[in-house]
Amino acid sequence: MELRGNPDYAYAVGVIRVKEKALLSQERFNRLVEAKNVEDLLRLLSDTPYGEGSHEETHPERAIRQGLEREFLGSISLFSTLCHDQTIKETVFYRYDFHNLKVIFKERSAKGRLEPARYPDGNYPFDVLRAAVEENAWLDIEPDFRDTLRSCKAKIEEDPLPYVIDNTLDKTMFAMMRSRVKDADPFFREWVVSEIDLTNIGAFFRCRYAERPRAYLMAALIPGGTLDASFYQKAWEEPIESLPAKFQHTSYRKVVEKGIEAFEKGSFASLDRAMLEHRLAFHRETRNVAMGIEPLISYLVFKETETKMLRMILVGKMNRIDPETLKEFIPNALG
Amino acid sequence: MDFLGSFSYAVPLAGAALAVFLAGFGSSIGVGLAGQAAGGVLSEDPDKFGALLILVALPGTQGIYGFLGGFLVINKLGLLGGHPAHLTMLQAWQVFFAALPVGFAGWISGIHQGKVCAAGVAMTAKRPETMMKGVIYGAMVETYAILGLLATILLLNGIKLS
Amino acid sequence: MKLNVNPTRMELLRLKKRLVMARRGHKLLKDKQDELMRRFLAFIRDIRDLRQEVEKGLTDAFSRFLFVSATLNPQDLEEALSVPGKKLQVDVQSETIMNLRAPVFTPSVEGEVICYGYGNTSGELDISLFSVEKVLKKLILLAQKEKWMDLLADEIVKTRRRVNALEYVLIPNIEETIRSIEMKLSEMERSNFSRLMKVKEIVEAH
Repeated sequence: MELRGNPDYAYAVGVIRVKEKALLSQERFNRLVEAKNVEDLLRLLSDTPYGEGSHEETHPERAIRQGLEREFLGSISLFSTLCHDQTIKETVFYRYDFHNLKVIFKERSAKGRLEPARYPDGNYPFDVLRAAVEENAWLDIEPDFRDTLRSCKAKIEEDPLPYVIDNTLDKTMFAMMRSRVKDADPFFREWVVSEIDLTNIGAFFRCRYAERPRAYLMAALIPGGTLDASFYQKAWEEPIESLPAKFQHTSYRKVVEKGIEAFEKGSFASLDRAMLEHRLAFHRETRNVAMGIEPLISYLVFKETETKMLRMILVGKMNRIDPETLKEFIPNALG
Repeated sequence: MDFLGSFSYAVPLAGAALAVFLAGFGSSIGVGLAGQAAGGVLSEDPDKFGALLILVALPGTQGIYGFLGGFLVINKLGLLGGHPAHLTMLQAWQVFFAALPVGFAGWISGIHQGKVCAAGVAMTAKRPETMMKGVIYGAMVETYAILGLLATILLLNGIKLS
Repeated sequence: MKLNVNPTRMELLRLKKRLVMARRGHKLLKDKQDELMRRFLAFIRDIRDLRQEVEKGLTDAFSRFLFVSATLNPQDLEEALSVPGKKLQVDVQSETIMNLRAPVFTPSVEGEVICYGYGNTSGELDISLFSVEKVLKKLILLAQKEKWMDLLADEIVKTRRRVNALEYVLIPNIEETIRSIEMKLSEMERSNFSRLMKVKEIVEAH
């Protein structure tokens, strides 16, 4: 009997639905943006998960930052406890593994420790990854991950520029994610592909804005998106105005239009926002999934976006930025 | 009782067992699903217990229908009153098939009702006022379990035992 | 204030020479001060424009960066910027203007300001770094010019002190001393003269 959804996740989805209810709504964000100062912001957040325990910390800014950190890390550990599918868990946690690997490689370049840059552990503890990279202690690492990591290391040691570190590891991460979700539900494949596409479209516009040579973009592109390298290669030659037509039949048309705006305005804020909205719209669809892992991943995305936006409002309030400017950064369809 | 007679009893009893077993099987999966979903919700929001109770209990009815179906078969055979009816082989099979609708309808509808109710639980978690809508959708699945039970009752009534 | 010298004709001659010298020095210093002032004022106008430009650029860059830093996860931001891709070196040489040793900064910049990949970072972060990069050279030029202005201002203060010392202390003092020596000398002459008259009278009475 082939049925969409995975009955193992009835409990998890129950938890997530209650958690989703606690996500801040668009109206709530509109009110937060109008807060008079940081104290006022904290007061407006007092009946949300971010306000819990805030009375113990007397400094309002620190209280909010602690709340953000707690909720963000909490969402990761919630995912970790609710997700029983090893493949999906690994796929989602590669992001933290590869981020920590970036940190390890950069620590080697910077010749110092970069504690604040670390994410919580993904599939492997930070120290295991560090031992693998620095002392070739590969024993605790799965064979396929070990091989990929070895080839990354060789590539980075050839050319240890920070940019190369990020780029190599990003590419490897997406390749690993793709191979993991190859046999999974279409949702996961679409999810990985859309992340690749968004990264590539961002890279395209950012390279073009910075007037980089085409080879630079080609090296940055991540294989495996819906649009392949030759598409971007051709698009690179086209005048910028003709680009939306090229993306006509993809879901990225709006993102591309905002990318073009960057050239007129000299600001990528609207592109960043459009990309965020695209991502949120993709994950919003999992609200209809009654049983499955999808809502877990989407919740992670929503929560991360929410903490980012709250941090942005906090910084805005600390620097007395007017609410209208702040609103420009807040995507629609939050919460 | 001759050998044939005792064998002919085995057939309707197997039908009764199937009715109870299949419907109970479906129900337990269904209640299990809805119960898990409710457990997830309650772990975060314990106040919802009352609202979720109906949704969790709803897939449980199939098991009751199955039990009822089984009981009616046994009653029909006169095993309860101590005066067992005399059965021909044909009648034995008639009773057997009469018992099946409630079993199968209960089995399949129980599982699906469990899913619908789990979805209803998730919906209620977000918006408590929609609880009744979830119950109504669940009840639509219930219809087919009831129809199954009804078919079993009508079929049993249609069989004349001496 | 009178100088503490012997009222002799030798001293008088010496003082008169000094006075001429002091007057000439005063005139020269005064000219120097005027020239310094002129340059200083021109400099101020120049620097004010540059400073405004730099301040505007920096404010823009910082306010952009502020937002971007908030819209990224702190861990992502920290990682992205942990190893800078750009190397900045400033060579310092010195040049002489108005007899002052003024430093000249020659920045040499190499590498890319974008030192991170395109995953998990935002385009706005690029732009904020570009705007810092754009303003960087001007910032160094501004530093150099402000240092020059500092030196000029110091020199002006010093020169003015000297001019004032000459104008209000040394020259009046010498003049006063000269006057008093002259008076003393003529007084001595007169007393000498009267003494001679007296001697002559005594001689004639015999």
